[in-house]
Order: sequence, then structure tokens, then C-alpha cells
Amino acid sequence: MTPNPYLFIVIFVGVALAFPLIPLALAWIWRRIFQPSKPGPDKTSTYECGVESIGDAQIQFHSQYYLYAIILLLKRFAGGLKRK
Amino acid sequence: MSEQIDERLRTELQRQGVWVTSMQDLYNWGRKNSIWPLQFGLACCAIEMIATAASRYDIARFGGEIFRPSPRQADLMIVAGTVTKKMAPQIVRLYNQMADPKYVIAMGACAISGGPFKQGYNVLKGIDRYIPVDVYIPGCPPRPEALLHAFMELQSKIDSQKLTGAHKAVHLDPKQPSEFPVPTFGKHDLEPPGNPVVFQPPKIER
Repeated sequence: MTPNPYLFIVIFVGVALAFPLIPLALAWIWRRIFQPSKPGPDKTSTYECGVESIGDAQIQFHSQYYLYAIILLLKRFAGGLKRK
Repeated sequence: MSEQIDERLRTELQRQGVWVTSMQDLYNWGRKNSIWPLQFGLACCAIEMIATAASRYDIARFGGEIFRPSPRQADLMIVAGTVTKKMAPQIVRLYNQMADPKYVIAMGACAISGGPFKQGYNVLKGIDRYIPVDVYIPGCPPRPEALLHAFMELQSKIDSQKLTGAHKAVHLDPKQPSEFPVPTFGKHDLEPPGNPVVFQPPKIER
């Protein structure tokens, strides 16, 4: 009896799941048994350049800058067309 | 756990083609042969560090060629050069952001003590005032061979670290801190001028 031709897909899916899951499971077991986790304000901070971040990332520009942006865009675009 | 294996039994087994190891030996073997340094240089020692990483001296022979640009992925901080007081908080913060286990090599006279700029107003008199240093390399600047030697010393230190027991490695001890306070710019000096937990200089009796 020949095996189902789609059997290898099932095997592939199994291997594809086992490859990432085994190291993750080992790391999890290692953390539980040996290595205590030591989070802190610096260690868990978003930026990693060594300099402390200032202010909020979600800042808003004033709406009057919109006009400058449009003028810049027009100038660039028009300049590009003219050269052609 | 390594002392629980009888060395004579181990060599006898090896002669018969059976290799035994302990979890600790396997863990330390893996760690010591893949030390990833943090990629940054502060002064002329960095040029020697670059030479060490390049083909002539080739730190890849010891598994340390993967210089990471992010502290999250680095195991080793090579403080290569003069640490100015302006730069010290950034160095300490980068050290704090590194994932455990982490090690520090102080490379050159400046990183150890301030070196020729020790009497200057703007140079930190040794990075060991704020972060624990594992290996010191004297020299101004140290040659690449000296950095390789320090690397090998660090490897032997990692190899001797215990996984369990009272003398287990610092990063495995939940009571030992992983972060150290970042100094701030004071009126005349960094505040505090040293971390007393890390920096305990010998008192000279006069």
C-alpha cells in the first residue's frame, strides 16, 4: 500500500513546528530552573542607544506646517517634471 | 556539578569512547565559545579592538567576532578607551540594557583608571566605579594580543562559573542586581562619584 502523497506535508508541518518550539521550550525550562529573570527600568526600556529618551513619541506637528509640506512637495514634483 | 563527576572515571570512559559531561560544563562550553561583544569604541583602544577583530589577529578563532550593535544581543562590553564624564552615564545605561549574563573588559589605562588623563577634570577615573569589571587590560593602548589574552581569561572565568550552590554565577543569583544606578551630571562631578556596591578601593594607611 502506497502512503498518502500528502503525508509529507504533515511531516513538514510537524518539523516546522518542532524546530522553533523545542528551543523555546528549552529556554523556558532553563529560566524556570536556573536563571532568574531580572527586569528593570533600563533593561526594559524601548530605546537601546544609551541616551535617555525625552518626551513622548506620539507628538503632533502644528497644522500650519502642512502648507510648507505641500509647497515642498509641489516644488519637488514640479522640478522633477521640468527636468524631463 | 562538575566536581561530582570523577575525573578518573571520565578519562577512563573517554578511553573507551564514551563521553560524559555535566549540564554545567555544557552550558559554560557553549557560553564561552560564543561571546558576542557590544560594538562600540571610545578612543584609540578601539582601533586596536578593530585590529583584533580583523583578519590578522582574528578574534573569530575564539568565537567573539560577532560584534552586536544592540546591547540586547551582546554578552560582553569591551570598554575600549577614555570614558569621559559626559559619556559615563551612557556606558552604564548600555551595560544595564544588556541581557544577563554579561561581562565587562576594561581595555587600556583610561578605562581602568583614567590613564594619562587621570588628573583631568572631565575624564572618569575608571569605569569600575560604576559597573563591575571582569578583566582589566593594562596598556596605552594594549596590543591586540593583550585583548586576545583578556578574552581567553574571560573564557576561563566563564568556564569556572558554577551553575548551582552557594558560589554560583552572579547572573544566576536572584539576589544580585543586574542593573546599576546611572550617574547624573552634578555641579562639579558625576553624582555619585562612585557606586560603593561595585567600587571598593583599598584604603591606604598612612
